Amino acid sequence: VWILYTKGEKLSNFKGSRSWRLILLFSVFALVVVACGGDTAEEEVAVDETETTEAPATTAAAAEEAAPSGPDGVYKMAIFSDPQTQNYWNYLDTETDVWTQYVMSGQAVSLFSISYPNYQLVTGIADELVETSTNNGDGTWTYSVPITEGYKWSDGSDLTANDMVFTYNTAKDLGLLSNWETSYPQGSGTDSAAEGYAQGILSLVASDAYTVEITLNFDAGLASWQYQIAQAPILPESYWAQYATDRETLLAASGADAPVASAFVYNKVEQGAFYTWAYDANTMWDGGTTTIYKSGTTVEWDNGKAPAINNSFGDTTGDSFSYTAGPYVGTVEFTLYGDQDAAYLAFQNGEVDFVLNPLGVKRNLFDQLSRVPGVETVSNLGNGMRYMAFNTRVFPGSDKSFRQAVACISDKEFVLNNILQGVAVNMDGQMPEALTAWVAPVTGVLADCAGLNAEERFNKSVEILQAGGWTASDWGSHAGGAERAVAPTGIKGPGGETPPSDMLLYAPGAGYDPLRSTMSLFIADWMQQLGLDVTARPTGFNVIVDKVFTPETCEDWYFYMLGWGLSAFPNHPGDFFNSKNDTCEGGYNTPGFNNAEFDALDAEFQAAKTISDAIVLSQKMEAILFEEMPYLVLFNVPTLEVYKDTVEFPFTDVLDGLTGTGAGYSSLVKVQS
Amino acid sequence: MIAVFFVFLVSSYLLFNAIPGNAFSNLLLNPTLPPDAYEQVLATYGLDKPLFERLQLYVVNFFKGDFGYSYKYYPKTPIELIAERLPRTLMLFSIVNIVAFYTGFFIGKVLAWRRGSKSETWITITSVFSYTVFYPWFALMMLWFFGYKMGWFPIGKFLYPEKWYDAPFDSDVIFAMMIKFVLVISLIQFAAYTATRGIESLSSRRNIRFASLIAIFIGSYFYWNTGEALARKPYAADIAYHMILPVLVVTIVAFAGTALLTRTTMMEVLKKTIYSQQEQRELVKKE
Repeated sequence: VWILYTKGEKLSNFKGSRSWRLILLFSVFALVVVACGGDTAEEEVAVDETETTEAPATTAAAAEEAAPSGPDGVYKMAIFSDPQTQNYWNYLDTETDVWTQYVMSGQAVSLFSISYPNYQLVTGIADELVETSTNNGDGTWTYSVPITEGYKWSDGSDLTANDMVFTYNTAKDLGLLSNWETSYPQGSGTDSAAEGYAQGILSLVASDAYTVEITLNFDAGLASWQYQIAQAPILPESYWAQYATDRETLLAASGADAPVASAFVYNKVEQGAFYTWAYDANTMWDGGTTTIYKSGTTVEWDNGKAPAINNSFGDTTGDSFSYTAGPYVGTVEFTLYGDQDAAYLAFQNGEVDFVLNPLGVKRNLFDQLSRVPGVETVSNLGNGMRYMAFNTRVFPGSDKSFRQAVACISDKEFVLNNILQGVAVNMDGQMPEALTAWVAPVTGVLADCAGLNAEERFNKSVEILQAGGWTASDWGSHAGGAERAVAPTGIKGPGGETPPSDMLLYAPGAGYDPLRSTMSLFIADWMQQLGLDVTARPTGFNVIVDKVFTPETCEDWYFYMLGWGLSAFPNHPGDFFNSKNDTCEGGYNTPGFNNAEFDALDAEFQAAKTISDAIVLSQKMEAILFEEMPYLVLFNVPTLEVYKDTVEFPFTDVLDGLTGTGAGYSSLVKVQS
Repeated sequence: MIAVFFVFLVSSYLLFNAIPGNAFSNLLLNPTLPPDAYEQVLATYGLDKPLFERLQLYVVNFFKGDFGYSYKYYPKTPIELIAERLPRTLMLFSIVNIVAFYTGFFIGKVLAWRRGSKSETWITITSVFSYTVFYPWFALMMLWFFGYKMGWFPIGKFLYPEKWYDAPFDSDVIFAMMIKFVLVISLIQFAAYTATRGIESLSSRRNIRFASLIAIFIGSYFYWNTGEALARKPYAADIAYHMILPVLVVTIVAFAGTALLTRTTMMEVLKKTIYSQQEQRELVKKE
């Protein structure tokens, strides 16, 4: 610097000094570029151990020191929303979004579980499927469930009945919210007629290290026992006891180093960028062959480390296929992208093998990707439904013949096939088509109006209204073909009540869901053709949810369209239509449907002990719904997914898709390098 | 001022409150939840309180510096969440600002000096285009072209996960290091410019500034090839590589403002200089 300062004048006078400066600058720049390129030998030195972060204190660490003996390869999946936590307690409390679920390591086990793709109930850590309880004669029933001896968490601690007792007590004592209240419902009292009575668990204790005794204050059926309490999560006391002092402390724990009952442990948690699981070389949770039948499953598991198991569940006859669990990859990577478009662009670019997407790929992108070499496509029906609800508390939704007339005139097939080009599948009942045993035969007005043309539907709907006691000064007419009907005028309800004017049919806007938005326009028009002043009002999703699920506003709407995602056990008709669940009282029965026969059947259904009994009752309940029509069930949207052809799944046909049921099936998937 | 801030605080709270639903509305769509579970969640987070009471709590706690908990990332606080994301944000935006400003300043000077030339026309048109282009569209186009079509730069993320599998630290450590590095070299360069402002000889001034640049390059070379930085260099390089496209995009859309401003300012100064000379000449004539 001194030389340049003192000699600067001379240097700058030197002919060509500008070139000299450029050459020097370029030389130094080149030096730095070469230096920054580095070499791998250098990169591996001088690692500061004190700055190590979040290295999970699991057996994976020990495994790294031993000779590596696990699968190689990386299974890369894209996510497009950042998981909210790695703490399982927090995830089930209020951080329940799907992205958190996908990336959550196998930190919990349960007594019973579900096998896919056939949705068969199987054992988890329970030694057997305990499906009967002991009636204690004092208004309580006790399930005594043996736990298989020999299971261990990844930190080496034994998995015992005390872990379940600890989990239950923690959820109860710390007042954990949301899904914890579903998994471990707290019971109160033993007299169902008494004030303050609440159905649930009265006690959960370990009678010995490998037996749990769960006492309930009601005679639980499939819905409450096999598919709820027996599938409640169980977490290791050995690790979590240190945090279980209060809710905030427990939920604030990282969870990234928590023991798991899985072949994978968290390896790298890079918030806002990516998350990885690594194969735990000391795991006992690998291998095992599962054979899938139409209504049954056999599990054979003898890897020499875990307790040997050979169990059959359900009907294990007929056609079947088998798969052997891995894992077949050493690392599972979840990479975060800014949005769905960026994630699929990265997929096309070969950066990831699979995109986790709860809603599936959009149809146009799916079609586009299906033409890309090396991309496999799969379409599965979703485990859910889109529906239109009538408010049965207010006229005209309170009138059955009106609901039936609307159901009849609404040609859903026409909209789905001709307008929406078959992107969704018509649905009439409450059960997704794939649950074949549960699907009830369509009866009532939907059966009567199936296959009718527009004119016939109009005439039939008018007949239904007339039979229901409706009157009109002129019943209008339909000219046939594609013409709109001439709407009835001066229409009045059975009691001479004039239908309100300017009734709104709320539906999600086209930006959120073009299918429901389109369907709402057609159904509103059909209602207008019946002489009702109904307008479709595409609106914000939260606006609809706020309006129809708030007890204070339960009578402030006429019609709306939304959708439901359903659970493995289809007990939802009771949730949606049992009068005890009326939204005005804080439940999920938004239409305010009130039918004593239905309620009685639902009570029987909730107490049913076998699947066959439950199916019979469910179909009887469906028959009432087909007659009463509190919902007009609209359609089911297939879940479209894409994956690279270097990835091999043991199965791809599964209700709700590969994301919805197994979050990409990391433990089963094979990836070619 | 305080009153305006208070009005802003209250109205922003009320506006957010007016949005339909709340952070836990999604629970209403899970029929497996017991009916009172949603109410319990609202009570736990204080959302069952009357609006006025919540507003009062918000304003009072705001001035106490208590921003409560994040609903989405409970039990983290907003400050913790901001701190978590701050290093990467700071790094990107400091680099973007430095590069965009310097590019704009440089191009503005060129425009002023070459006024009336063809290059001025083209640069001005380009600047106006980049100043008025719809940013999200432009960013997507750049991403599509340089990331997808040409494959030169990553499409997303700020690092390649596979390079970080065995990293014994997380990215924030590297970001903190890079921020310090950028800060130090910026200070050196700033000091060199400031210290040489008083030097009358243009060539000496330029040479010293140039020397400081050389010193920065050489210093950088030694810094990144010794000690702790050596081990972290590949990770820093990975992040730097991922920053190229974002920096380029933001620079293109942000430099124009500075460039046009610099050009206008310089033109005014140059005109002023000419007038002064004319005035001097007139004065000489009069004398």
